[in-house]
Amino acid sequence: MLKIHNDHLEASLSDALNVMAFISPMPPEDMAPPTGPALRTRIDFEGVTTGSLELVCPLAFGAMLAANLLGTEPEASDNNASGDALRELLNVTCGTMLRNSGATQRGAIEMGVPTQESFDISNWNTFIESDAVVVDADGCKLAIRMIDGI
Amino acid sequence: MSRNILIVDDSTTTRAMVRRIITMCGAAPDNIYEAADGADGLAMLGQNHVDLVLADLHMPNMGGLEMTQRMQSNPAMKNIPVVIISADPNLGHLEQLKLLGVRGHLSKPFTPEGFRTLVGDLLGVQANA
Repeated sequence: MLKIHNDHLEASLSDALNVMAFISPMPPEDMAPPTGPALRTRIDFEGVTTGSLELVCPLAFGAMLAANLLGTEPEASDNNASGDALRELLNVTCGTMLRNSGATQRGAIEMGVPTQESFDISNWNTFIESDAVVVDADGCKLAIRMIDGI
Repeated sequence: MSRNILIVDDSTTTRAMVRRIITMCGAAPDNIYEAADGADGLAMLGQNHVDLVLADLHMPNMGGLEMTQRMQSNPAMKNIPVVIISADPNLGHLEQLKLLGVRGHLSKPFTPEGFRTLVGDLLGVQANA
Protein backbone atom coordinates (compact mmCIF):
# COMPACT_ATOMS: atom_id res chain seq x y z
CA MET A 1 0.00 0.00 0.00
CA LEU A 2 1.36 3.40 -0.98
CA LYS A 3 1.97 5.63 2.02
CA ILE A 4 0.89 9.26 1.60
CA HIS A 5 2.70 11.62 3.93
CA ASN A 6 1.30 14.60 5.78
CA ASP A 7 3.43 17.02 3.76
CA HIS A 8 1.42 15.99 0.66
CA LEU A 9 -1.78 16.52 2.63
CA GLU A 10 -0.78 19.96 3.91
CA ALA A 11 0.46 21.09 0.49
CA SER A 12 -2.77 19.90 -1.16
CA LEU A 13 -4.97 21.71 1.37
CA SER A 14 -2.89 24.84 0.89
CA ASP A 15 -3.10 24.55 -2.90
CA ALA A 16 -6.88 24.05 -2.81
CA LEU A 17 -7.40 27.04 -0.50
CA ASN A 18 -5.09 29.24 -2.55
CA VAL A 19 -6.50 28.47 -5.97
CA MET A 20 -10.17 28.14 -5.03
CA ALA A 21 -10.52 30.92 -2.50
CA PHE A 22 -7.33 33.03 -2.51
CA ILE A 23 -6.67 31.99 1.09
CA SER A 24 -3.06 31.35 2.14
CA PRO A 25 -3.02 29.13 5.23
CA MET A 26 -0.35 29.72 7.86
CA PRO A 27 0.92 27.74 10.85
CA PRO A 28 -1.38 28.42 13.83
CA GLU A 29 -0.14 30.52 16.75
CA ASP A 30 -1.36 27.84 19.16
CA MET A 31 -3.27 24.57 19.11
CA ALA A 32 -6.18 25.71 21.29
CA PRO A 33 -9.59 24.62 20.02
CA PRO A 34 -11.55 27.07 17.87
CA THR A 35 -14.75 28.56 19.24
CA GLY A 36 -18.29 28.20 17.98
CA PRO A 37 -20.06 25.31 16.29
CA ALA A 38 -17.84 23.05 14.21
CA LEU A 39 -18.23 20.50 11.43
CA ARG A 40 -16.41 17.30 10.57
CA THR A 41 -16.30 16.62 6.81
CA ARG A 42 -15.07 13.25 5.57
CA ILE A 43 -14.22 11.69 2.22
CA ASP A 44 -13.19 8.08 1.57
CA PHE A 45 -10.99 6.85 -1.27
CA GLU A 46 -10.27 3.35 -2.47
CA GLY A 47 -7.90 1.78 -4.99
CA VAL A 48 -4.12 1.44 -5.12
CA THR A 49 -4.24 3.34 -1.86
CA THR A 50 -7.23 3.32 0.45
CA GLY A 51 -8.22 5.58 3.30
CA SER A 52 -10.13 8.67 4.33
CA LEU A 53 -9.56 12.36 4.89
CA GLU A 54 -11.30 14.20 7.71
CA LEU A 55 -11.49 17.96 8.01
CA VAL A 56 -12.63 19.68 11.21
CA CYS A 57 -13.22 23.41 11.33
CA PRO A 58 -15.66 26.01 12.63
CA LEU A 59 -18.86 26.48 10.68
CA ALA A 60 -17.82 30.13 10.46
CA PHE A 61 -14.93 29.11 8.23
CA GLY A 62 -17.39 27.41 5.88
CA ALA A 63 -19.29 30.69 5.63
CA MET A 64 -16.08 32.57 4.86
CA LEU A 65 -15.04 29.99 2.28
CA ALA A 66 -18.44 30.08 0.58
CA ALA A 67 -18.26 33.87 0.47
CA ASN A 68 -14.81 33.74 -1.14
CA LEU A 69 -15.96 31.17 -3.70
CA LEU A 70 -19.09 33.05 -4.61
CA GLY A 71 -17.92 36.63 -4.24
CA THR A 72 -20.45 37.44 -1.54
CA GLU A 73 -20.27 38.45 2.14
CA PRO A 74 -19.92 35.71 4.81
CA GLU A 75 -23.20 36.90 6.37
CA ALA A 76 -24.93 35.93 3.13
CA SER A 77 -23.83 32.28 3.41
CA ASP A 78 -26.41 30.02 5.01
CA ASN A 79 -25.52 26.68 6.62
CA ASN A 80 -26.16 24.81 3.37
CA ALA A 81 -23.72 26.98 1.42
CA SER A 82 -21.15 26.74 4.23
CA GLY A 83 -21.35 22.96 4.35
CA ASP A 84 -21.33 22.67 0.57
CA ALA A 85 -18.19 24.84 0.36
CA LEU A 86 -16.40 22.64 2.92
CA ARG A 87 -17.37 19.45 1.07
CA GLU A 88 -16.01 20.97 -2.13
CA LEU A 89 -12.78 21.99 -0.37
CA LEU A 90 -12.23 18.48 0.95
CA ASN A 91 -13.12 16.92 -2.40
CA VAL A 92 -10.56 19.10 -4.19
CA THR A 93 -7.92 18.60 -1.47
CA CYS A 94 -8.31 14.82 -1.70
CA GLY A 95 -8.06 14.74 -5.50
CA THR A 96 -5.02 17.02 -5.43
CA MET A 97 -3.30 14.93 -2.76
CA LEU A 98 -3.87 11.68 -4.64
CA ARG A 99 -2.53 13.19 -7.88
CA ASN A 100 0.46 14.99 -6.35
CA SER A 101 1.55 12.07 -4.20
CA GLY A 102 1.96 9.96 -7.33
CA ALA A 103 -0.73 7.53 -6.19
CA THR A 104 -2.68 7.74 -9.44
CA GLN A 105 0.45 6.82 -11.42
CA ARG A 106 0.16 3.37 -9.88
CA GLY A 107 -3.47 2.76 -10.74
CA ALA A 108 -7.00 4.03 -10.40
CA ILE A 109 -8.43 5.43 -7.19
CA GLU A 110 -12.13 6.03 -6.63
CA MET A 111 -13.14 8.90 -4.38
CA GLY A 112 -16.43 8.76 -2.53
CA VAL A 113 -18.94 11.51 -1.88
CA PRO A 114 -18.00 13.78 1.07
CA THR A 115 -20.15 13.38 4.18
CA GLN A 116 -20.61 15.83 7.02
CA GLU A 117 -21.68 15.93 10.65
CA SER A 118 -21.48 18.34 13.55
CA PHE A 119 -18.32 18.05 15.62
CA ASP A 120 -18.14 18.39 19.40
CA ILE A 121 -15.29 20.83 19.84
CA SER A 122 -14.39 19.25 23.20
CA ASN A 123 -12.91 16.45 21.06
CA TRP A 124 -10.54 18.88 19.29
CA ASN A 125 -7.40 17.81 21.19
CA THR A 126 -8.08 14.13 20.61
CA PHE A 127 -8.58 14.84 16.91
CA ILE A 128 -5.40 16.84 16.40
CA GLU A 129 -3.31 14.40 18.45
CA SER A 130 -4.11 11.69 15.93
CA ASP A 131 -1.50 12.99 13.46
CA ALA A 132 -3.65 15.85 12.16
CA VAL A 133 -2.28 18.86 10.29
CA VAL A 134 -3.50 22.15 11.80
CA VAL A 135 -3.42 25.43 9.87
CA ASP A 136 -4.67 28.95 10.36
CA ALA A 137 -6.76 30.11 7.41
CA ASP A 138 -7.55 33.81 7.66
CA GLY A 139 -7.97 33.55 11.43
CA CYS A 140 -9.85 30.23 11.50
CA LYS A 141 -8.24 26.99 12.63
CA LEU A 142 -8.61 23.97 10.38
CA ALA A 143 -7.48 20.46 11.27
CA ILE A 144 -7.17 17.76 8.65
CA ARG A 145 -6.04 14.18 9.04
CA MET A 146 -5.67 11.08 6.94
CA ILE A 147 -6.88 7.72 8.11
CA ASP A 148 -5.15 4.84 6.36
CA GLY A 149 -7.47 2.12 5.16
CA ILE A 150 -6.82 -1.58 5.09
CA MET B 1 -25.28 34.85 -32.69
CA SER B 2 -26.06 34.00 -29.06
CA ARG B 3 -23.74 31.87 -26.99
CA ASN B 4 -25.20 29.76 -24.22
CA ILE B 5 -23.44 27.65 -21.60
CA LEU B 6 -24.88 24.81 -19.50
CA ILE B 7 -23.27 24.01 -16.12
CA VAL B 8 -24.04 20.52 -14.82
CA ASP B 9 -22.97 19.87 -11.22
CA ASP B 10 -24.77 18.54 -8.15
CA SER B 11 -23.17 21.18 -5.92
CA THR B 12 -25.00 24.50 -5.95
CA THR B 13 -21.84 26.16 -4.65
CA THR B 14 -19.76 24.76 -7.50
CA ARG B 15 -22.34 25.85 -10.08
CA ALA B 16 -22.30 29.35 -8.62
CA MET B 17 -18.50 29.34 -8.53
CA VAL B 18 -18.23 28.26 -12.18
CA ARG B 19 -20.82 30.86 -13.14
CA ARG B 20 -18.72 33.50 -11.37
CA ILE B 21 -15.52 32.38 -13.11
CA ILE B 22 -17.25 32.48 -16.51
CA THR B 23 -18.14 36.09 -15.79
CA MET B 24 -14.65 36.89 -14.45
CA CYS B 25 -13.09 35.44 -17.60
CA GLY B 26 -15.01 37.75 -19.87
CA ALA B 27 -16.59 34.96 -21.92
CA ALA B 28 -19.87 36.94 -21.73
CA PRO B 29 -22.37 34.26 -22.74
CA ASP B 30 -25.94 35.32 -23.42
CA ASN B 31 -27.35 32.68 -21.10
CA ILE B 32 -25.95 30.38 -18.45
CA TYR B 33 -28.20 27.43 -17.65
CA GLU B 34 -27.73 25.11 -14.69
CA ALA B 35 -28.56 21.45 -14.05
CA ALA B 36 -28.00 19.30 -10.95
CA ASP B 37 -27.16 16.03 -12.71
CA GLY B 38 -26.78 14.45 -16.15
CA ALA B 39 -30.46 13.62 -16.56
CA ASP B 40 -31.42 17.18 -15.69
CA GLY B 41 -28.72 18.37 -18.10
CA LEU B 42 -30.13 16.31 -20.99
CA ALA B 43 -33.56 17.77 -20.30
CA MET B 44 -32.13 21.29 -20.41
CA LEU B 45 -30.35 20.50 -23.68
CA GLY B 46 -33.64 19.32 -25.14
CA GLN B 47 -35.30 22.62 -24.33
CA ASN B 48 -32.56 25.17 -25.02
CA HIS B 49 -29.91 26.02 -27.59
CA VAL B 50 -26.56 25.36 -25.86
CA ASP B 51 -23.08 25.98 -27.28
CA LEU B 52 -20.96 24.49 -24.49
CA VAL B 53 -21.55 22.09 -21.61
CA LEU B 54 -19.41 22.19 -18.46
CA ALA B 55 -20.08 19.03 -16.47
CA ASP B 56 -18.91 17.31 -13.32
CA LEU B 57 -17.85 13.67 -13.61
CA HIS B 58 -19.56 12.16 -10.58
CA MET B 59 -23.14 13.11 -9.83
CA PRO B 60 -26.15 11.28 -8.43
CA ASN B 61 -28.60 9.76 -10.94
CA MET B 62 -26.39 10.37 -14.00
CA GLY B 63 -22.75 11.46 -14.16
CA GLY B 64 -20.97 13.53 -16.78
CA LEU B 65 -19.68 10.59 -18.84
CA GLU B 66 -23.06 8.92 -19.21
CA MET B 67 -24.62 12.26 -20.10
CA THR B 68 -21.96 12.80 -22.80
CA GLN B 69 -22.51 9.27 -24.11
CA ARG B 70 -26.24 9.92 -24.45
CA MET B 71 -25.56 13.25 -26.16
CA GLN B 72 -23.43 11.39 -28.74
CA SER B 73 -26.38 9.23 -29.71
CA ASN B 74 -28.65 12.23 -30.21
CA PRO B 75 -28.07 14.01 -33.56
CA ALA B 76 -29.27 17.31 -32.11
CA MET B 77 -26.74 17.18 -29.26
CA LYS B 78 -23.74 15.24 -30.55
CA ASN B 79 -21.82 18.28 -31.79
CA ILE B 80 -22.14 20.31 -28.59
CA PRO B 81 -18.70 20.38 -26.93
CA VAL B 82 -18.50 18.98 -23.41
CA VAL B 83 -15.82 19.90 -20.88
CA ILE B 84 -15.50 17.77 -17.76
CA ILE B 85 -14.57 19.69 -14.60
CA SER B 86 -13.71 17.41 -11.71
CA ALA B 87 -11.47 16.78 -8.71
CA ASP B 88 -11.24 13.12 -9.74
CA PRO B 89 -7.54 12.21 -9.44
CA ASN B 90 -7.73 9.90 -12.47
CA LEU B 91 -9.11 12.58 -14.78
CA GLY B 92 -5.92 13.05 -16.81
CA HIS B 93 -5.68 9.32 -17.45
CA LEU B 94 -9.24 8.72 -18.59
CA GLU B 95 -8.79 7.76 -22.23
CA GLN B 96 -12.49 7.06 -22.42
CA LEU B 97 -13.17 10.78 -22.09
CA LYS B 98 -12.11 11.43 -25.68
CA LEU B 99 -13.67 8.22 -26.96
CA LEU B 100 -16.98 9.38 -25.53
CA GLY B 101 -16.73 12.76 -27.19
CA VAL B 102 -15.48 14.91 -24.32
CA ARG B 103 -13.65 17.88 -25.84
CA GLY B 104 -11.62 18.92 -22.81
CA HIS B 105 -11.17 18.54 -19.09
CA LEU B 106 -10.15 20.69 -16.18
CA SER B 107 -8.87 19.29 -12.91
CA LYS B 108 -9.96 21.11 -9.77
CA PRO B 109 -8.62 23.36 -8.46
CA PHE B 110 -8.23 25.30 -11.69
CA THR B 111 -7.14 28.86 -12.30
CA PRO B 112 -9.30 31.41 -14.12
CA GLU B 113 -6.54 31.54 -16.78
CA GLY B 114 -6.76 27.79 -17.46
CA PHE B 115 -10.52 28.04 -17.60
CA ARG B 116 -10.43 31.05 -19.93
CA THR B 117 -8.07 29.33 -22.36
CA LEU B 118 -10.17 26.18 -22.64
CA VAL B 119 -13.58 27.82 -22.73
CA GLY B 120 -12.42 30.61 -25.04
CA ASP B 121 -11.11 28.06 -27.54
CA LEU B 122 -14.29 26.01 -27.51
CA LEU B 123 -16.60 28.98 -27.80
CA GLY B 124 -14.43 30.44 -30.54
CA VAL B 125 -14.17 33.75 -28.74
CA GLN B 126 -11.31 35.88 -27.55
CA ALA B 127 -12.13 36.06 -23.87
CA ASN B 128 -10.81 39.13 -22.12
CA ALA B 129 -8.63 39.07 -19.01
